[in-house]
Amino acid sequence: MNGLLKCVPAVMVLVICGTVAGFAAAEHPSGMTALEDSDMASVTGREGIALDLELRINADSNGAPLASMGGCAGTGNGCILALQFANRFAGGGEWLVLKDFYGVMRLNDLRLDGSRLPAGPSAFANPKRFEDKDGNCLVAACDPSGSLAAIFTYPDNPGFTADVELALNIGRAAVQFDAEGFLPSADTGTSFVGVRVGDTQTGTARIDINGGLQLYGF
Amino acid sequence: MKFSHFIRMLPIALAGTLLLSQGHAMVALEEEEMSGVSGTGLAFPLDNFRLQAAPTSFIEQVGGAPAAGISFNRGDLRWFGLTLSNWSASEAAGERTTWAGTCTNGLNNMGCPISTRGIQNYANHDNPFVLRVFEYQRVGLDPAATGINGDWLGAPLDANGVSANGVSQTVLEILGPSNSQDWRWAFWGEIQSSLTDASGNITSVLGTLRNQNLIIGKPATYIRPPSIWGTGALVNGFNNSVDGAVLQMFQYRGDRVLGGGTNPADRTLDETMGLLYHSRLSGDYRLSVNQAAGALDTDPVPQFSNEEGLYFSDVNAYLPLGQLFYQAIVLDSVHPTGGQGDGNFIIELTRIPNDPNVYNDFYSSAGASGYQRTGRNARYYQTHGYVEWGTAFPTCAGANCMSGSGVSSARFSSNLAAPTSVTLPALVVNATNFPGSLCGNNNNQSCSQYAGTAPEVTVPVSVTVASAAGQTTREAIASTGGVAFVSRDPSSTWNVVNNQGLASTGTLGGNFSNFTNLVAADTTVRLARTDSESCGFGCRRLIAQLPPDTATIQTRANAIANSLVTGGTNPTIAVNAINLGTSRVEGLLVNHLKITSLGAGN
Repeated sequence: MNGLLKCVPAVMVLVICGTVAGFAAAEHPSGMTALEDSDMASVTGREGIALDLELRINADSNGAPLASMGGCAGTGNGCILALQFANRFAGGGEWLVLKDFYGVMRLNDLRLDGSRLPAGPSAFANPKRFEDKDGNCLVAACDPSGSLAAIFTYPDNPGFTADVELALNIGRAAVQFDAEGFLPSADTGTSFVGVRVGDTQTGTARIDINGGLQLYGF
Repeated sequence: MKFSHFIRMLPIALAGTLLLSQGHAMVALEEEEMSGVSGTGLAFPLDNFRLQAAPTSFIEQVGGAPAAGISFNRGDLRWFGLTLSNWSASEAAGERTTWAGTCTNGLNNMGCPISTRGIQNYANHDNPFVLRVFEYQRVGLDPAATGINGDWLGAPLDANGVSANGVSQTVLEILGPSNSQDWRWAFWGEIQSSLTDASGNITSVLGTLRNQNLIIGKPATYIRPPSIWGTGALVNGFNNSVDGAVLQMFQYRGDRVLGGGTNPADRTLDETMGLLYHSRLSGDYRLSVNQAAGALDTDPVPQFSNEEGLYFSDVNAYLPLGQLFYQAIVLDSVHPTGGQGDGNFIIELTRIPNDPNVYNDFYSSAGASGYQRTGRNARYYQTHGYVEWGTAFPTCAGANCMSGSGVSSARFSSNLAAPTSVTLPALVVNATNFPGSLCGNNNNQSCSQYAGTAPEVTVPVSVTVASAAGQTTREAIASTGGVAFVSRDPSSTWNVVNNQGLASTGTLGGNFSNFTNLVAADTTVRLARTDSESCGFGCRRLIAQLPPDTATIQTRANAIANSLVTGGTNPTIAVNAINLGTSRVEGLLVNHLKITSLGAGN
């Protein structure tokens, strides 16, 4: 994606130059086949949803920079993420440009399901969390116990499981100026910081997550 | 449906759609369940949550070529194996682990950085993370102001957190759990120093320092300094409670000095994204660098030793960075006024405006002649942070003192090679082994005959270094509260003069090689092992005392052992753990903070 975003939101502008690819649901190695009626009849949605996500930015599936992007190396390469904050227009426009920017993120078998919150209050209950600014309870008795909630989990396999895989490279970062100061042509090679996320053995950082993150509204 | 309403309803819709009732059909949502959703906030409780990055997975701050003319080398910083896991005082030993192998519980329960269990009672369903949009009425810049020197409106906050005649603004905020159980937060790190070529590429690695970081605690702490206001019981009419961290985002409006400079002439009205973070932390922290014997810096994953380290225990810290709506963390860049800069970046906690409405709220000392120790209002403790390392502070009876419960008497642990017991071998009672006048009613007359064998006897020995009081165990030092440093093992020591303000009178030590013989030859000890009996007119026989008087023998052994200690009245002590004391900061205000990068200007 080499297009430019021309909108100017109130708080922040975000520009990505480079390539973004690789969103995929759980891949199936064989060709697609039609579902039988009997298969369809068993689909209720009650078993929840499993989600595989792979997001690549200027990187191949191993997290290595794309050769087609010049390896995201050298002054003026096209692998950037640029941010502009509200009311920062000195010199025609101030852009915080993250350069040599590439990476990959995978969420492996993230489960989304329904759940109920525990039936009774916990030892650390804080009813004030559920009050509006006038002190009125937004849930009954300011206690959400027993309510419905979505829950995100990963399979709790024995040992270490790479539930999340992450590789990120920000080789350089600098502020660049002008209305289109984010463009690689404005890169002078300067940098004040570089950040990398990876793994010394596998290249891609791996994270094992157990337990659940619940989500409910009130 | 409005997008915002859709977002608010999404969790309930998802839960309702997906609710799995094992073996039963799905149940439709009841009206009353739907009607309970007001759309004010999203709640994120954690259920038995545990996160562990692989031991070799890292976040790295990548180094670069050092600037010309400086003596620094390239430095690369890496943080590996970030882990959030459970901690419980009653946990089983089998739950404790490290990135590379096994561990023992160590000192102050900080030998093991990781638990195999998920965190219990953190972000519970009724005290979760909350993401919400909220409106606050606080001291703020007059909305009608279009240039510099605009009026700041509003009175100091009332008991409900409202500023009369203040400015109302909408804030996006994330509220952390206001209280929870303690849990483990750990990672291991690496600092690598290298030589580079002109482009910053590493040509040789000079060295690597690996370190282990462990916090057992929680991101919550007391509203007011606990050493003064207690930890729950009513103190001076106030019941001190615990609160959590807060992150807020809002539109900041205030003066800005263009280009990151300081010239007042360059001021202009700024309207930009403002962040506010009120950090609250409590717990214990251990930083260690010693690795297990035989470890190499080239090992993929280090194994750290169980006890060594710098310990910060019983820490409570509240640090408010920003106040609605007059102080915020904003982002900027370095540049000449109106021009283009060198690429460097600024993170700034904005300067407090010079306006009475602002500083009456910020300092919260209205009606008083400067700061007072007593009679402060509740708002004072919201705008002023504090940090306490430890709980034992000096007592003070003065009217304007900070209160304290008294300091700890635990000062150091020493590896003085003193005996802890003495065993006197069995000894035939005869004139050679028991010489002198040991017979008679007063044990002062010569003996005519000898008979029997005094049995072997073992008694404990305690060497107390009177001239250097405060000696205790390594565990007591690490867990006493405050700041402590502990060596890798008891035999690893360094020297400290007992009273740093006076000259050393020698090295604390002693020659105990002849200790057993000295005890055995002591007259009081000989008497404690024998009895005198009559064997006829003028005849006195010395026999073995069965059992011997062990209390007397122990008393003499202690006295003899302590008489062998050398070092004088102010010795230099070889310590293996030392209590560096407690410390506290109170009334912490950050009026202005600016961090400017320099690297892009090289």
